[in-house]
Amino acid sequence: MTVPLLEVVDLVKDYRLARPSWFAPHAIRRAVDGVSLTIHPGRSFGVVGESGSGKSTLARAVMALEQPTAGTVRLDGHSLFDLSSRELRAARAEMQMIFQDPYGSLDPRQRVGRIVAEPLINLAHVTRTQRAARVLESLRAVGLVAADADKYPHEFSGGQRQRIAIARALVTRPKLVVADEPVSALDVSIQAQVLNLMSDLQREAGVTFFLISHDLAVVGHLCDDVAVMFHGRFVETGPAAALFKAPKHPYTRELIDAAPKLEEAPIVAVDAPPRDEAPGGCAYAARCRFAQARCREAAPALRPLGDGRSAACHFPL
Amino acid sequence: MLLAVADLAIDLPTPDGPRRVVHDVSFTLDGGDNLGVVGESGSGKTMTALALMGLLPEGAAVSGVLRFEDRDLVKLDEAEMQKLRGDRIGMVFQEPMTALNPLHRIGRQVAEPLILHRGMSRAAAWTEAVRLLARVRLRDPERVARAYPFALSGGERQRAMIAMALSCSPKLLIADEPTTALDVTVQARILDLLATLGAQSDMATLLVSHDLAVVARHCRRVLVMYGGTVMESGPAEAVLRDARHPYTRALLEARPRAGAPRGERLRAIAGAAAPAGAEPRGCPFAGRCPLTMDACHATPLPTIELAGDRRVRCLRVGPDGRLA
Repeated sequence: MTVPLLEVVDLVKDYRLARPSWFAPHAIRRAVDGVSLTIHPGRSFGVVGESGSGKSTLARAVMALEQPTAGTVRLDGHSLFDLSSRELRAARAEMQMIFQDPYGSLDPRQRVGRIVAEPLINLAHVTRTQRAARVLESLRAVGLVAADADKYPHEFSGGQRQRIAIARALVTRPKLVVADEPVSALDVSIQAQVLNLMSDLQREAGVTFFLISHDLAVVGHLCDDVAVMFHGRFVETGPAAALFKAPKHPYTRELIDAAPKLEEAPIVAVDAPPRDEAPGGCAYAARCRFAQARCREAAPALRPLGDGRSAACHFPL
Repeated sequence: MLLAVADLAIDLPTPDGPRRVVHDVSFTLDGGDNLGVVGESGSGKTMTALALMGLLPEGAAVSGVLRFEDRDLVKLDEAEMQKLRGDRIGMVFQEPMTALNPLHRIGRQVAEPLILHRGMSRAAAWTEAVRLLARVRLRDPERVARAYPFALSGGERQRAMIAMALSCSPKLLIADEPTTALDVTVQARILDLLATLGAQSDMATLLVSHDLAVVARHCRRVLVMYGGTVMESGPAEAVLRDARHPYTRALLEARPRAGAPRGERLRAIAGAAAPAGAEPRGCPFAGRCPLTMDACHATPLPTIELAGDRRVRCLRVGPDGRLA
């Protein structure tokens, strides 16, 4: 068995909320609640979920941008949170991040060449000459030309800016690229260019993506394995094709049905006001069409259902 | 006919002189009808909607006819326009947080148009506001009426804004990306709610969206815009199932399809959209379009009328409606 590229074990991230009064204790909100996942080299992994599900917090913890409350993140077998800051910098070269907003993530006062070179500056073993060559290689990989290195971000369209962000992520030749909603700010026609580029990088440069998105079609397009996140937990995991074709968790079903499609009318869940959430029960029970008494009493654990699939549901579909 | 737009053109002031961001836009809307306006950024869809509401940026020049209930909106002054807005014409925007006043309770904001346009007393308007909040299926409408915007979720805020837009029973509802900031499960419910409310009260809806699938699902007719003008229009189902304009086709093929094999090549549209008004005479899609001919850059767009109440504006479309 090969060493997994990324291994996340029982990750928990709590945020302290504002105190209701001076002497009251801080309330705690658990954004990520015991998430585990394994990414093997060459198998891109996608997390789908709605706003507030904890998917972006998970991505930030994987990038060691946030210290988790509990749990482990291992990159190539090394635990990220046990590394010294120097070792962490070296580890970061193996994993880079792309953000949603190609306008906010590029410094407008720096030339593209400098922006793309930035992740290399902290790497002692890359010389200045090598740096220039790597920047050029990276720009070419995303379909930009050498002359673009001397321009400023404002001279590019949204899609081209996202290419620059991807070039910056590729410049260290990372094994893993964490992409948080990489195409959701782009127009449809531009989105396709960026998705095609990401597919090419998977195939030709051996890049593995850890993709965070609310868009099932985007995740299905790029990922081999998928996890569906709800209220800080994975409620279903499995190979993308099988999971989207025949979801096991009612929440996955709801997400698939609600996504607008050209081919067919979506099946809209009954627009009934949600019931009160039962503490201790399944977090989805209040919205679930199939909820039974047991769902409001005990939270189901994520358990295997065969064929590499798992669901956290007492009564999988 | 509730609304008739003919040859709408909008010029926005820029440091280099006025720039035409919308031109040659014509369409009609009957009571109870719903029309989807689809386009990417810079297509002119939002400017068209803003022109109908009289909310264009300062210095914008509008020409053409915007006839709403026998009045030409282009000729109305701001005071007359203000009387229509929130009364005969309701509005819903993408981000309810920017449209709602954070310092006022939801109930007061929903009640305000009733006091302003209907002359209701505060108490009567408040009661009506609670009824409206229930009508948009908000849970516990009395609680929501007393709440401030920050205390509500995104979906609840959008429902509250719809309640506000509907308070005076408008004949026309203009919704600009009303669900873009919301989760898909919430989006589906809100769009269904809009459709139900429209049907109940014979209200026409103009839904502006970047999402073809949203329009396909919720609109009877569709207008596909690009570069400031209309490329194709007609019944939504016919246009989206059997698109005739190369741009509509390209847009349909560029979407990743749910359930398609992983890594399937998407048909990306080469290049990026030129800013509206950059191609003053020819087709704005010329150059990006795989079927571009020399004439496309210089010839004004023809309008080809097809059977089934459809229109296509492309030099490559023959009189039989087929792409040549």
